[in-house]
Amino acid sequence: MPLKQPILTKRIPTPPWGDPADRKLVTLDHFLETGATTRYAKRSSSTPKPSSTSSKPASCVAEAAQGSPRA
Amino acid sequence: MKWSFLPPEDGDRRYLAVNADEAEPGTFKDRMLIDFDPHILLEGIAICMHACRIDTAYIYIRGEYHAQAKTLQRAVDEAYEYNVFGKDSFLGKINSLAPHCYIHRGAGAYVCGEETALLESLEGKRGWPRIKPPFPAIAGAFARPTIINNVETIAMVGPIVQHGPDWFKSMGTQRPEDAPPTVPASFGPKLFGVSGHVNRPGVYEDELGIKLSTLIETHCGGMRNGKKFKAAIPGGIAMGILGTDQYDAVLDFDVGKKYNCLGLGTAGVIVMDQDTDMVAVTRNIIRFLAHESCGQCTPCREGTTWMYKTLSRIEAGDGTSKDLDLLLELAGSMGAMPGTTICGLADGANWAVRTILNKFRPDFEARVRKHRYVSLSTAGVR
Repeated sequence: MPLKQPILTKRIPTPPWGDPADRKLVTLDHFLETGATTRYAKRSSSTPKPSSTSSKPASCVAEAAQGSPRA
Repeated sequence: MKWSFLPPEDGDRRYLAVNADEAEPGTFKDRMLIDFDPHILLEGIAICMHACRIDTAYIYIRGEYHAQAKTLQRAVDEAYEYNVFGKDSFLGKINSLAPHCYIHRGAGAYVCGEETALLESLEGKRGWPRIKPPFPAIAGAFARPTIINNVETIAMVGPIVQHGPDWFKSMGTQRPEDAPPTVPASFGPKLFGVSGHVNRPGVYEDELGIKLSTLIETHCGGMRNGKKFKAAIPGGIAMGILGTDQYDAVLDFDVGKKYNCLGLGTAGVIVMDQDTDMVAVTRNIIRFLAHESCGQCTPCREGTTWMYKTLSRIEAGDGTSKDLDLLLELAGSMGAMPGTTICGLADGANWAVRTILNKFRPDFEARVRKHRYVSLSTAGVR
């Protein structure tokens, strides 16, 4: 399924939704006008819980090098 | 997922390190985000710091990104003025933290894109990968718990918070029901940076699971000059290669197992047409990796150098058929035993050489045979 609308490139004109020639730097004002305000507001109204109550035990010792496919 | 690895708070500092050290050849998606929409990254950083109760974030940006570092610094200054960061941050009023965000410029080392080498560099040391464990979430920057995420990952946090995880999971590909747990699901959108022999190279956003052929024909306007597709590197030169018969490869996180390459990597797709010299491609990849090897691990330091010498010999027409087997043996000894090197650079060199040589062996054999014929003739042997 092709993407219906741009997400990360919402403000960066990218084919097929926009022309790269129209790209310009998004300032904070423009960013807030185009949907960020709700996210900042949503974020600032919630208080995070402690990230975890106990650390996870290590499940791998001398693990394969980064990027190696796991069996 | 990395966020959940953080240990319980102990009252001391925890860090977020954003990996903007985008040095993988053919990869330029993070650069586009920083160039044009840096606040989507800063918003993600702020949310991450709030969620994980982190008060210090570093954006480790590639040394060669001069203009991007300036753009990002201006955006950070704007965010401070808006009280996203700083002692008067509206976040700080909620969780009693004063979040700060700093930009740290790298010095041009490819290996510093590896997360623990990044941390070493961040601490002012030589950019060498660390042995894991301990993992950065337990002992990262300055021996404190640290989250390390890529620019694209952090930039995606804001939209996910806004729309929810179900929205995110509605995009991409599901894990097949009968698949083993090792087969990953590939949710969400992805930035594909396409370069090489296509009509319109650039960064394109689409769902994970898009076919390579669709990416090339729909987004990139097809192959350049109407030539035929020969090969593509799915995401960074260390990922191996997709062969001519894999034009319809599905680009998701399972691409490695399905098409015999290392993985999707950075999704920086390098497309090659029918005229591409695969020997030159391989030599160029290994030249880069040999140059960028940090030198800590013998298999990587010596292996990449020997492979570069061997490939240079083959490309110059001085190779023999034995050199092809030697290359495979070298590649195998570097990556066949996972864990023999500290980071994945040696593995990447192994996959690049092994998959290109296996999938395009006739290209190599033709080069070797031609040389032998010429050399024997030159020597007067009949």
